Amino acid sequence: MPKLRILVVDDEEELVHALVERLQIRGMDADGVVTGKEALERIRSEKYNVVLLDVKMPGLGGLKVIQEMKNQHPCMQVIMLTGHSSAQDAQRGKNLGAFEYLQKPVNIEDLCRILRAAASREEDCQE
Amino acid sequence: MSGLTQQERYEKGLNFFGAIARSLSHQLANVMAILTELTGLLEDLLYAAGQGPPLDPARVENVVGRIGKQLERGTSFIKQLNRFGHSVDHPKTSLEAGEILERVVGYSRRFATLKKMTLNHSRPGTDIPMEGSPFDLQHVLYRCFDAALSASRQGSELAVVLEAAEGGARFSFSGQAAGDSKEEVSARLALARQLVEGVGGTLDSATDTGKPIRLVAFLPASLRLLSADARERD
Repeated sequence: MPKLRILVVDDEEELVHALVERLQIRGMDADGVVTGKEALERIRSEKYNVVLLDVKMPGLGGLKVIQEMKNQHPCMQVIMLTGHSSAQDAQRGKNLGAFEYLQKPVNIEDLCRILRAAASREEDCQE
Repeated sequence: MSGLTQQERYEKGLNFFGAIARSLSHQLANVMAILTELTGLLEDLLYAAGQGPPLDPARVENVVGRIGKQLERGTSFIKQLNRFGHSVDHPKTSLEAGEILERVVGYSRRFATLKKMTLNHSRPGTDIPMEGSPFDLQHVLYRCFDAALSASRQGSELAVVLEAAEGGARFSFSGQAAGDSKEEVSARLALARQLVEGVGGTLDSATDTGKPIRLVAFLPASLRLLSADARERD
């Protein structure tokens, strides 16, 4: 079974590094970027099953990034990550096609379970 | 006195208090999230070492160093938040303009980052003593920063220079136009001016599109009281 390819996007660089390392330890092929713009550039050249995306970022915000990602890759799944509990953002993100909305900090085992579920949906969509 | 009613001054002060508390607590929440992941990473490394290859001391040392940096960062946010909360304790007290400027630069840095801007500031080697409400002075300077950031181009640099002036202190903001819409900049500038005048100062500004922006706030050494709630306690 191929490794899950995960892209972590958050303006907190250290959070990206730590999450990427933890996902790699759990057998996932994870890497990360720190802006929405970089994320959009990355998905043009690389294929990912799931994107873990911070909603509140400088410059291009998370919701705009979801919209653009879904336009480019309708099957690719996006999980929103935030430091705030914003029901409004969660609903907007879901309306744009996000798979799930999680609040930081996330338990790593819960996160992995949700990433696998999202990857499974992505696989079903590709078929 | 400042073109704003007492109720409006109170509301603007409350709005400023909320903005800073939200910003600092958001940054603190990010630090906590990072610490959660880094301590989790240490657990992962220890667990993996129990399953097979020996623990790599260099990797553990690296993670411990990263935890230390985040602890320092979190401590700094807690100090800022605590000091900010205490700034409403005394409506009239001795102030030092440079120290208050440093605080407001600290609070405003995240707002600048959200616009991908950098903040630079300088203060003289000697103290500039003032007297008044620390909360009001922070509020007035924050609104000047807010107007200057709004007028500045995304990704540019905003510089603030503090100098002693006859009877007070002069804060000069300079950056590159153009930023937000003309209406948006005008509204923020008008509020900054009303508050600067409210404490007894003056604000000169040039924010024309295509030209460098410049805001110069002169604040008197003895500040008039701005906050309605503070006035009642006085």
